[in-house]
Amino acid sequence: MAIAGAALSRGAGRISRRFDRLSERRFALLVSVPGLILVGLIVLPPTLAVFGLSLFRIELAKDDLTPFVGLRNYLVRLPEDTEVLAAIPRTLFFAAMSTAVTLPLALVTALVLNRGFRGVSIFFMALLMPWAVASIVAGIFWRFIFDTNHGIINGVLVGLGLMGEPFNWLSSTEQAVGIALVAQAWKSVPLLTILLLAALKGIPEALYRAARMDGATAWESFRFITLPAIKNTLIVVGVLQVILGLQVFDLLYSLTSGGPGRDTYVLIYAIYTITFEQISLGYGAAIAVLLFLGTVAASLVLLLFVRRRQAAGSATNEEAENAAASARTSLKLVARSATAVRGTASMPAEEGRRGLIRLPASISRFLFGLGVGLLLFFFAAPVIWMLIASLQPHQALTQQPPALTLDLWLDGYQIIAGDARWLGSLWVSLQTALLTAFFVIFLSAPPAYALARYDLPGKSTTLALLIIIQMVPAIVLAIPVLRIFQIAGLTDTVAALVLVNVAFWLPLVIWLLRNFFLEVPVSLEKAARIDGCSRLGTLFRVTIPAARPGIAAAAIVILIGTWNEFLFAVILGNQDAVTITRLITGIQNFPGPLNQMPTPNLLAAAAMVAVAPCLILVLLFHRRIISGLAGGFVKG
Amino acid sequence: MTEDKNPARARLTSALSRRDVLKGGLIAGSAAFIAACAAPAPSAAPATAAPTAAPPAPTAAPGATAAPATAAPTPEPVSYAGVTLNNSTGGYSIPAFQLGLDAWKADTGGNATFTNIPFDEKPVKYASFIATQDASWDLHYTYDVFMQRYGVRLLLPLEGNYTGDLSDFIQTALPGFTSQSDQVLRGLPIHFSSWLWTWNPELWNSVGEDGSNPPDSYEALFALTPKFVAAGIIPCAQPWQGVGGTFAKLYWTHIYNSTGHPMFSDDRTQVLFDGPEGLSAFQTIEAGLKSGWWDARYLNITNEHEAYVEYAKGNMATVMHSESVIEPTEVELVAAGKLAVRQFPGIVSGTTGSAQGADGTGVNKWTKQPEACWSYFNRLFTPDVALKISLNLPELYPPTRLSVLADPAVKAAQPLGPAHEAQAKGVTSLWSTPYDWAPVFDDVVNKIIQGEYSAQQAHDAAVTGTQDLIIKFLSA
Repeated sequence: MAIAGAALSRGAGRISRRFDRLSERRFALLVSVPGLILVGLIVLPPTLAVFGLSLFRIELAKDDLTPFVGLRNYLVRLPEDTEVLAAIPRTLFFAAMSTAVTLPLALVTALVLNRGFRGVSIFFMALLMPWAVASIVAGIFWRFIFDTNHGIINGVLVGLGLMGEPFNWLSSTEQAVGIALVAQAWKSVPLLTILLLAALKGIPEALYRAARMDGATAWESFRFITLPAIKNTLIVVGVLQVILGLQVFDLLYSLTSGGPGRDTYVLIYAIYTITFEQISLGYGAAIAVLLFLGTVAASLVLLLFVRRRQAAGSATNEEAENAAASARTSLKLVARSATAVRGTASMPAEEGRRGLIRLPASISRFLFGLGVGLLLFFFAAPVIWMLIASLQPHQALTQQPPALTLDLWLDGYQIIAGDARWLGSLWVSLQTALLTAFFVIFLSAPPAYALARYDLPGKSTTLALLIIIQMVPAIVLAIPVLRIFQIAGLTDTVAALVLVNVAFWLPLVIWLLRNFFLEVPVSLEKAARIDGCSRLGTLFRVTIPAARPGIAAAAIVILIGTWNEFLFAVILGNQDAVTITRLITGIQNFPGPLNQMPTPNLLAAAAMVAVAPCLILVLLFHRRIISGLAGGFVKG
Repeated sequence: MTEDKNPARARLTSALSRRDVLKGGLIAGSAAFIAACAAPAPSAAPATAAPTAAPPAPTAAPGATAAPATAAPTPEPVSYAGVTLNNSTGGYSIPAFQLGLDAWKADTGGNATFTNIPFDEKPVKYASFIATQDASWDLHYTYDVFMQRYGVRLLLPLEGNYTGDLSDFIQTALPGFTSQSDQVLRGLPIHFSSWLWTWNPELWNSVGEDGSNPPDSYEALFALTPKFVAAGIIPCAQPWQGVGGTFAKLYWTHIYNSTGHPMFSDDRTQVLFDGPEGLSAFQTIEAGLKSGWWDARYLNITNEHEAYVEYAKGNMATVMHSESVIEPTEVELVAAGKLAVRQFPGIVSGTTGSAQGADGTGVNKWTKQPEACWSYFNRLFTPDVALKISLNLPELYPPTRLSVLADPAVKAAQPLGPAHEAQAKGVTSLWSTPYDWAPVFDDVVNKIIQGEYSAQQAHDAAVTGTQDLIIKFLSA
């Protein structure tokens, strides 16, 4: 045994020494090979196929003919397609409006969090809940809340006498679009808040102190210090939200199904219809390419601002200094009374920085508390209501107002616990999420390290490509991905789900981990090398442990993202590899086996079971997730 | 030791360099890439020809019992022991298919698995079956809409393969399993799932109406709205805007079919509802909404099952419902005298129409075991299996065969059977097409509900919208 161990150790040592003799370029290539192969086999072919398919007429509902039609899908067919043309302004409107709703909300949340208060940890947990809920389940949540018969909104409004009878929220255009926007904001605000919060944390405290000494009010501090300092981040986050808004599908699929009529039928929904209901693969790909180009254009705007920020040197501090200068100039122009100056000067340092417009402290505290309460309610209420509904008898929920009882009804959970399908799906999702997280981290760390440390040719292009391939709408990749797994004979297996998730996570996680590795001081590695540590030894014994918090955060993000994945789960799973997100969407309309509709409490219980693991992760690791998201995305 | 001059041998015996390994990896990767991008390999079974792929060697079934005399589709049962057929189904029909499997298993020793593909996932799955010519499936669930959308590309024709008697089926059930574009039958119905018009006789009597014989026209029903509302009774819950956006199309079709006029040409390339019949259907909808017959509170409840749940609470005069699995079931309520069913009302008294609904199956075009598939299919669609289905689960599966409907035991067990039979005499087509006109109708009906469209405007918009779809479809 000891001999075998020694032999193994010698073998590893030999490999390590051979790696040390490689040039940086070769080393980078070699450690990236496993990940590259996976991406090359699973991600690249379907992604490239989308561009190729868009040049063909492929109408599989009609025939097998696949003539090359060049740009006719773009130049002839699209201009005549009134339905898709109508979806373009609708998509832009949705993306713009979702940004208009989400950005201010994220900014307010970030400002509130930046100020700090007792119980901020609970607030962070609540903030991350929407992020952890799968988009497809989020749609079910909001549909449940606005349901005509058992929705809590109707229940409360009717109960308070504000409405005579229940209202059909989702059958009315304005209301349905409004609910979709709110639901989208609910999902997006957490990520945007974290990014904005990271920017706010970068503003030097001294600026606020100076402003306070100059007699600035809270509004003036915000207007002349905070806003200029985070201006670029705001723009970046705004563009990011536009990109997210352009790609919303899962949420609309389960919330509005594109309706009422075609009122929430956006471009990505058109791609779904054309690709799957009409099996028009060429034309569907063409629209996907257009959407991809729109997303890339939005991203270029984002890149422009990032570059500008980088060009400005150490971004935040310098901006903040400039902001401070501008603030001082502006403040001098602001006429203010001597009383105000005295009042502000006498404020304690903390309050001077963070106080609101000069209101009495008690009112200020009350308003702040109210704001915190409302935000907390917005983030947590949908989840809490689903939890409550899952523990109530069916009759209690269908009354208006709901006749809630303190007796807990567990029949919904009992049905799920006694259903082999649910237990099987939980196991499938668990295996898929854990294995995916492990392999993604294992395979992405070496190339991320190489990209962080070495000056490789084509590095910028590689980094750009890692992000760009994320922008191709996944819907059009589904059928080519299925084809690859059919060839491999892996459909309807957990292995297929793991492979596809690993392959599609790798580019993003390489990018994220690279940012974490950049934070590790090079001097640590140099010291290890001087002490005789090999390249690989340095990576695994020094760099990865030093970047552990970021890597752990990335692993949690992967776990949650994989658990929530829907499209590839549908396309690759049949009977043996059914994930929990598929089961929950299946139960919403036709739970089977006999078509009986789920009672509201069963639906709520099912939704809670589907999101519970992610919520538990959020409750346990919220700080790590926030630092990880902020570290990975902001620094990137 | 002399140096080997043979370069090939030298190559084989020399150690591999890193460059060699990288080159090999590159070549292997490229090959895999090309393979992944390649078009699907042609399947063993020709697309439309009679199945030719080699089936498992037929041997005498040692333990198999002979099929019933009335049902034996093949003269000599062959053994399919060890064969398992992979079926995609809707969960609802699985118990019915299971009874067919039991019979086939007894005859041949073959087996089958049934995978429930949720309705919402079916478009994605069916499209992927076709696009990848998926041979891992043997039979697919189908019904009217799927047949028109995917049938030609996914299912094998019955001609030359089905050995049973088609004339025993209620004939209006068969067009839903015929692909309209080539008029080829590609599947058969295992049971009806069409809806019936349901009313609560007690409530009708309570407002002074004849609970045993309600009016049979929409106009006369709408006129009763004030009476029911005054008594605190909900006239009717109908999810015009239910989940999925297909209910407006479905309910419109129920009403329109009572005119007896076709909606599309046979090849589905011409709109035929652009005349007064189409307008009258929209006028009926407008009148029903204005009168409050279709209660505004229930216009967007999830689906017809939810409507029935509301009805079953006992304070609703009527509902349009399909087969019941909700307790108390329709059968139980009929027996208790608390529920009555009959065919749908019409726009004009004395007329009736409905939207055909039957669930069935067909054989996958790319199956690798076609002979076993047809053996199972033929056994599944025999009268004795149909009889078993109707008797074992009468509340779930109304029969689609005349001989089964006429069976005294079925008559006793199926109180809804005569209503289905009567309904099948009217126009029952769902008017399914390869293009999806449901969103157009969902949109215009929504606009009537919102008060944005009059019946005339809705009619015009529906005609134009559907014509646009046809043009798009033809020009693709």
